[in-house]
Amino acid sequence: MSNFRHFSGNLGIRNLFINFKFITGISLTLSTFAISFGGLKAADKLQKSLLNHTFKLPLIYFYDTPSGIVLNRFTNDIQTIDTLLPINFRDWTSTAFTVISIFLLFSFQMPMIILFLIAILVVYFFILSVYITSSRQLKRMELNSMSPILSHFTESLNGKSIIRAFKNQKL
Amino acid sequence: MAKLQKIFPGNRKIRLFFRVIHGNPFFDFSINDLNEKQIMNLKEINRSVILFCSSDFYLKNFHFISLNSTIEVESGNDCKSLQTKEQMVTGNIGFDVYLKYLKCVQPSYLVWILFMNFIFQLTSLYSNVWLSNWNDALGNEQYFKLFIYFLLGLAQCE
Repeated sequence: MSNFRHFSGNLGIRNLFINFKFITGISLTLSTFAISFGGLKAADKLQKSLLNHTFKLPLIYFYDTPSGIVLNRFTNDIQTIDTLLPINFRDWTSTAFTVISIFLLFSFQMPMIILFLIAILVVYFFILSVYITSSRQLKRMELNSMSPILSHFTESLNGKSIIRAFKNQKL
Repeated sequence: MAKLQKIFPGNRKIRLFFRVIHGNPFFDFSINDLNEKQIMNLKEINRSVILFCSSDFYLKNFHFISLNSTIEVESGNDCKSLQTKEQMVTGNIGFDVYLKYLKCVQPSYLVWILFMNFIFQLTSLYSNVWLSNWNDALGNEQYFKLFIYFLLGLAQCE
């Protein structure tokens, strides 16, 4: 009973605290919504431009390039744009803002910490430069290695009558 | 490779292609340059299914349609390949690529995202500051409750 009375006395302060948490939740939700819609818009725009450019290509292109390359653009790359890019963008923005706020708060509270933060930044930059080069190249190699498989599927599907005619179903 | 060069003498670049040209009007398939036995030989070497042999007299290239992979046998003559290889970009991604994506995300959404993230950080930081102020203003009796709040916060940490 005494606890209840105590809480009711500080109702204004408590409400303000709850309001802060409420605004935090609302802003996080709205930013996530904005990123989702923006990512969808971007994916739509990029896919449409890819489709337009592919349709306007000269016919010799489709003879020259294996169909797997074209298919790879329309499946793997579009999937990356659709799903991976907005999620990574959201993570990046929230992490960047968190880091900036932490840095600002620390340096306001005790300016001597800036030296330590710079040291940490150097270490992190080194790790980033080592990690991101190999990760990026691996991702590219993975994407490129998908193309022959896709061409294999589509072309054996196209030529299935020929495969059947020569009785070469078993590889 | 050596076996293939034995089968195809002369200065010709022979390519085994990874595609089935099915009903293409630009190329008529003929097996006049090869006989059945040679194709069978290729089959043994390649461990793949060779379905057709087409000869394009323009490019002086032989296209063997196989279900394996692209195999090149070069023998001096520099004929151009019909098929283009997939290019792979190396090096770091320039800022213009990011800018292109951000332009596709539309600036109105972008402003909204940044502003909301800013508000989120501000409020989440200030709510903690407010909690500490609140704690300072209170008497000793509230410390136990705040200790429970602290424990809950500790449990939330990853």
